[in-house]
Amino acid sequence: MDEVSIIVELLTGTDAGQSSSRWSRARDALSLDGTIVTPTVIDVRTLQPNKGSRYDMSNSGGGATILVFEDSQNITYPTIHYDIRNETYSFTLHLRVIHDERANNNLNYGRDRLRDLYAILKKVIEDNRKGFTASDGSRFNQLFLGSRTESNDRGKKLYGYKVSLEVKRFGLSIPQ
Amino acid sequence: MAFYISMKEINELVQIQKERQLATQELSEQLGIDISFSDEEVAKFAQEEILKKVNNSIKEEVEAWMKSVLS
Repeated sequence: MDEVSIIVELLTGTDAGQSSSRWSRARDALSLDGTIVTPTVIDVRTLQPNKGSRYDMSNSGGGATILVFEDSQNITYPTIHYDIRNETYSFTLHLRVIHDERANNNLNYGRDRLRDLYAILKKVIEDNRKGFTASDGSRFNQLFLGSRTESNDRGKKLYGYKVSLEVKRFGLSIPQ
Repeated sequence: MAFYISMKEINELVQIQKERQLATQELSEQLGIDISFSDEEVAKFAQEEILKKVNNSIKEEVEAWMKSVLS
């Protein structure tokens, strides 16, 4: 599984032995509004047909999306014989929330949802900061959230955060 | 000590953000909601990346200078 797909699985998947997703469990642990359902997490390169259909915002991701972009990858060979590899990946996650008719005269609707979305994202990442193993066995050893900047679009009534994420893999052996 | 960032590097960073805007525009058409990056956001994101690159370059340059002075 490629690295962006692992991040998508981390945010949308379910831990073994659990009945609810990591997202739902993080939301419940933070005692947040139950309407913050798992957002539509999108690997921008995806060609999945079900992501191409026109969807109902009220039940698909609650009008919230998280776009995942890979920014960079860096490899180092830290041993004297160069037979071990460490990998560092940087990602940018764009959280986008629409302030739509569901706001029902609540001027803070979009802003509050974005805040909750970020809080849940932060908890999911921090809960897995010491490593995450995907369903196919692919593993990251370290996940750290980085800087967060606002990116709002008043014209489209879009609230957004741009969040950086750094993940690392350590000690990958190189076959001789 | 010398610090240098070329126009080519700056253009690359801007181009990456423009590509992302295009990707989000295509995605918006598929999703049925407009979540694409605005031109202002593209400019802002590009500025952030350029700033990050400048900061890293200065940090590397200062570290190299400090090592040469203190060694």
